[in-house]
Amino acid sequence: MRVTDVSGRSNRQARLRIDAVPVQEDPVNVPRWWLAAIVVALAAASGRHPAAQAGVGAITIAPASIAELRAADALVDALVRDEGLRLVKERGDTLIQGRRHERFRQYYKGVPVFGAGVARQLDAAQTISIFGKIYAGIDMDPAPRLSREEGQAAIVEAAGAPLGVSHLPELVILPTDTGSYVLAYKATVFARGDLTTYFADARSGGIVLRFSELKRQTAVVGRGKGVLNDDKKLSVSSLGGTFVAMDRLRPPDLRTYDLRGNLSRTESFLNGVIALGTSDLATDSDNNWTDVANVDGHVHAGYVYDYYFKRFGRRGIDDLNAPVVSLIHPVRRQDIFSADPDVIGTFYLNAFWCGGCGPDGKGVMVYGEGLPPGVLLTTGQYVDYFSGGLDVVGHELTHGVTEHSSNLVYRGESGALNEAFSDMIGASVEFFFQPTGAGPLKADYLLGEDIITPGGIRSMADPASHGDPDHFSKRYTGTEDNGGVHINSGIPNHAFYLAIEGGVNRTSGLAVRGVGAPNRDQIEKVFYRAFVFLLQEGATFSMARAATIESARDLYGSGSAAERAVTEAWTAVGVN
Amino acid sequence: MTRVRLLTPSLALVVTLCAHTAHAQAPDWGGRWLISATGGMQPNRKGFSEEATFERNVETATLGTKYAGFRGNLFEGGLDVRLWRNLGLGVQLGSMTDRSGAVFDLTVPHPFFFGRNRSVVGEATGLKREQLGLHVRLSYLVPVSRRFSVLVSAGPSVFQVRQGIVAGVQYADVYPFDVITLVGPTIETRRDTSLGFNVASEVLWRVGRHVGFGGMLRFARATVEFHPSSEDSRERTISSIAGGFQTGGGLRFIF
Repeated sequence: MRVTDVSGRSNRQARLRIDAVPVQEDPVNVPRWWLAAIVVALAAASGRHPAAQAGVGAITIAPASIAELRAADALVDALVRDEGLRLVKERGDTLIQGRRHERFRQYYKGVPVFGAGVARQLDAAQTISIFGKIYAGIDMDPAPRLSREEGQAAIVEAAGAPLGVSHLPELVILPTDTGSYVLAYKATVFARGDLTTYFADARSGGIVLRFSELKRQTAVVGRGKGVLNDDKKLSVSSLGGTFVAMDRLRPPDLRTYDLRGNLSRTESFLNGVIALGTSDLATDSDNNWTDVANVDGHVHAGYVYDYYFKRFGRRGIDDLNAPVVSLIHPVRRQDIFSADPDVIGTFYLNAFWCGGCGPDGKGVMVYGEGLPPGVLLTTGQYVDYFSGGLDVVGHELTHGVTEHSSNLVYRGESGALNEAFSDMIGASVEFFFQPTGAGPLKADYLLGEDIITPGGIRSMADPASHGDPDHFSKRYTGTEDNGGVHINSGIPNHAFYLAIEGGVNRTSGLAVRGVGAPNRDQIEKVFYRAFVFLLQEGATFSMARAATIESARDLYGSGSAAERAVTEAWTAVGVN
Repeated sequence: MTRVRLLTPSLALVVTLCAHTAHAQAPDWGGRWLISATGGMQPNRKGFSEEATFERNVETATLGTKYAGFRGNLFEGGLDVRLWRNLGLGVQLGSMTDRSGAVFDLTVPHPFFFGRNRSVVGEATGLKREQLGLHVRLSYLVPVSRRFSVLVSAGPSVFQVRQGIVAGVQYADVYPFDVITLVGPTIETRRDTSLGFNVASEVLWRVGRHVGFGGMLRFARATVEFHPSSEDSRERTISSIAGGFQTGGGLRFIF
């Protein structure tokens, strides 16, 4: 089956819509008959009815019916009257006019109960909702044996860091995990790189509880399989008990979002209608990542950043560590049979740089889903997940680099230079990280050969093998493809290849003495410097020739091997 | 097993000496109690080493540490009682303290790539070793002359050793993570107590009725194990030999 056989079946209605399902906790609803008991118990705990010690511990208030809401409302009012609850904050609702929100904190004989309180939503005088947790059965003398200064000293000793006089601890009643209560001094101390809250027993000074207040997103390293079943390490983050594709080890904010095949959400994000959140990040529960497209999208983006940093000292897309954002699974593979041709061309059989999209409008990379297994292009090639091609990722990210530097206009010769520079870096990234050779996971001068098999989509060594010109005399002069930006890129691509490897141009017959593969970094730097710093947005092939020769002279001197190779290469491809 | 094998012939030697000399010489302890105060040294010993592994960046990191030997000054006191004829039973308590060093080699996998390790080597100095040895000895006195005699002994020993251990190595690891830079070792002190044995020979030179000098040569040994904290759930065990050849001399009091 070939993709062209099915792409005509347009049925956008058939797209699967994935809506988030809210997850609810399972609160202990407080029935009405309980509420009366709680009132009695808390009132007793407040010292008003010592005989009634219910001893019921923590009670979650989450009324499930109007009747329970009324009872809970009455309870709150009663506790407020008895000073078992104190209003600590009241504010209007910024989203629903007329609504107010009250926050109450539980007190026992004038001492706050840690972690206990109630939030009540009101519409005018009517209670809309109440949620909270209160403690009953507290029976203790709230008078501490230790002074606040002594409590502070105990915490300071435990923390190993001083606290100022303005940081005297607060006396609280601490409910423990065993159901008992401890009168304790509470203070938060920054020490040893952590922000820790300590509870010191107000009678003995012993530390009864401590916990970190730092909300960390811990950088962790995971493992996963790539599109070609290769083992990879992923720099991710631990967040809320799971792992998300947010790289915390590299300098930029490097995120990979998994759109889970939701095309409408993909388009909404690209159009700036919605923002993607943490829940949209590619995720894995055990840090042994199994989604091959997510793995490669995230890892390869990191590799390309590394390449730019190590080879050129560049800090990412804008050289200021702009976010590196990748979108994976913009569509679902199985939906290809009902997808519009334009969707197939954009989100299945393509990867692209979306400039102006994403956080701060600095652009995102979108990687096509490829074809379902067994489905081939009319060329006989299979297309896998585009994120699986390291050169593909290098190519797309480089479009971002170009956009933030020379900003080559994406049509005509400047457009072909734009495409060619992305191809040059795509291939260079492969040579930086992979062994030279032919086949999967090997560095070569084919573009996309790891995910469009066999053969990839372009060849820098022999552009004609993929139908592209290898000489200026064969350039495409029509209007398709923005004036042949993906076609005429073969000419500067071949010049780049010849400058490194040397050889003979098949059309001109001219030989080039390249700098040799071990010195490929020279040509990479020459072209990077020319394309990023010297060219302007309307550059032509001829300007690119002049700029790269100038760059070679600047970097390696007049008469250097690099200058000679670059000059001969451009001449060989007919650009003078 | 090693301890048992060495202890058995040692005891056999003492018993044999007892049987051989008991009928030939008159008892010559010169009293019932022998009190000794000895200063000496425990000469340089072979060091010990550890090869610890822990998980880092989803691969295995290694921390290899080689500890130098120790040569500390020995201070001992002891009390022996004559049981029957020239046969006695005694106990010696000695301590040795020394500071030595260790060299370590830390290898940490790269956070982005498999099979790409970064290494750093360093040295930890001032690792303190405190050794307490309690030696119980069954002894036999062999008179040589009126003033000189030789005491041979053997028995079990209990060693308690406190040792400074390289528990970990702090290092700086920053982007692009191609190298790691040593910050310094993390030192922990660990303690272990172990049962071993001792075999000793001592020359006594009596200068007065109750006073004399003694020179001691002893071999005592036990194996102690330390368990420093680990970077992950893997348990770490470092084995070290306590004791060794010990030599010294001091005053002897006989009552």
